[in-house]
Amino acid sequence: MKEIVRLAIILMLITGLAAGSLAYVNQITSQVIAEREAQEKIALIQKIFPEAARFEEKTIDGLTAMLALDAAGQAVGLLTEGSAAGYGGPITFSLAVDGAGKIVSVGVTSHTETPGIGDIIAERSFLDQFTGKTAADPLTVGQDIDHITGATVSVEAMADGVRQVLPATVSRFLGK
Amino acid sequence: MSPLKALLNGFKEIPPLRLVLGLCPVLAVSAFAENGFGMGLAATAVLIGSNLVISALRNVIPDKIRIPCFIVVIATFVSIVDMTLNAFMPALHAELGIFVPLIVVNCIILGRAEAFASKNGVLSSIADGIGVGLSFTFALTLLSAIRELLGAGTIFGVSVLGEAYQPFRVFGFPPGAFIALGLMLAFYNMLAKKYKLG
Amino acid sequence: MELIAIIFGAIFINNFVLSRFLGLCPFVGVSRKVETALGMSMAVVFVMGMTAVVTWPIEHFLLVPNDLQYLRTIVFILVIATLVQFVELVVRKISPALYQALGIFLPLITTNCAVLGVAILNITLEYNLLESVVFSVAAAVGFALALLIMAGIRERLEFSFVPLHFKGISLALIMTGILSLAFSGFKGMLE
Repeated sequence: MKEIVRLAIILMLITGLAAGSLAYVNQITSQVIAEREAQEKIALIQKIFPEAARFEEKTIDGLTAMLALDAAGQAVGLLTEGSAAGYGGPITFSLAVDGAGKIVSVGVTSHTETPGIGDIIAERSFLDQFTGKTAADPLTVGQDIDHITGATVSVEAMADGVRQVLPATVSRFLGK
Repeated sequence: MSPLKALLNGFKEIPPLRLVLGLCPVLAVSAFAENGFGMGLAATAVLIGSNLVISALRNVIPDKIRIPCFIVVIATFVSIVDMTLNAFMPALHAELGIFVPLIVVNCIILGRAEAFASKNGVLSSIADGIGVGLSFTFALTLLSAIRELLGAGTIFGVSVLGEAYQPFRVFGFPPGAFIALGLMLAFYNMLAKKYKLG
Repeated sequence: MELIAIIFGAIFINNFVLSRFLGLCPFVGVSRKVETALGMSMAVVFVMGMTAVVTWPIEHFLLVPNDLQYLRTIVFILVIATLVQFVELVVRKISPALYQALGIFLPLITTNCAVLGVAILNITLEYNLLESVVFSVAAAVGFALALLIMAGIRERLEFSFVPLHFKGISLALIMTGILSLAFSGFKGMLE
């Protein structure tokens, strides 16, 4: 019995030490990761809306967006993130909208779609179809978004994702 | 065993056979030379760390619970490498994905802990980790360079075979991974027979 | 419908062994005979199902609420190791016959990356508890299917002429490649 207690204590000590050192490393790296993500976001939005004077992150109803404001404080555009249930798992994408509610660009940030088939959704030729669309457009595969044989699930997922995120953000952040 | 000898011994074991010990990550991340090289270095870092700690604690850890203790130590270093990659090399981290945490169950690392670090001094164990890790990295980079060359016509992203080359796309995908490693092993067997190695 | 897609996907399209590269060590190690392959398969199906049942609540009720996701790897591997030991004990008590069949495979499962892999995939694919369990069992069935097919092929190979340098693992890998090529034909079925 005494032996078992001794073993348990040693194992617990080692595990405790391990957890402690991980907590320490996590504290350092999570800061770096958060900073990097914020920087990347600002760099991206600066590229899309070079005319903006400053940027501001806002959260409304649980939705977060980075707003690009001009010198007078008027929103000239925004950058937000969305996700869609793809074929191989979640697809996350970024969505940039100008002050009038028109899509400026869509980019896929991560996905696990099938290489050579579903990963077409991450290519510019597919994503550029969204450019210039507004919440008033159908954004439906077969109407204004091309159907791609073999990649139905992935393509539908992206269209659905944009169709849902676009009006939700535009109405909340741009008041349209 | 002296550290220098441990390093050489660690490196000496035939690299393609190393690959067979750590099959899952080897096949999964070897579509591009850069990923293979990155995975090799990540595994090397874990090996050095776990060898160091395990050899330092070898007289403290009771024999009966040594395997769980080894696993805890290895998992700790894997998590540290995972977080560090995520912080400083996000692109590589995204490419390797789930196979970074899976370094925990890589047979090579637990194997070195059991066979070497639990019986040798700290310096020798570090040297062993470096040797074994570099030999794994070397083999993994070689395999992924071959796959990238055949599958995309490039090595480390640099075009080698030119525009006219029509890539064997299949080498970038799972079937090609198995076939490429199978052929590499057969080729090694042939060399070994010819020059009477191992 | 969603669940059927998960099952079909895990067994055929994203087969753990042939497409996701998980569980390769036991796949190469115990695929020499159909009988041992069957024993290993049963043990893996059992342990992977149990793993999902245990790790999913740990992630969502323990790690996420306390912001401890960075401990995931270490917690999961410890839980799996303990679980395997526990299953071994229970099986030995309840059914000695089953223990005879599965016993030697159970300790090997701790280092089977398919088990830790499925636990992590359940999190990254954002499955709920039911989906996680279904996905894990289906993935294990996919592993079993690949293992049994391979064992069948290797049993036949015993009596065939094989070029000298290809003997052993080399040929096993090339055959796996061809099998994987055949399975990639399933890809178009759900997309």
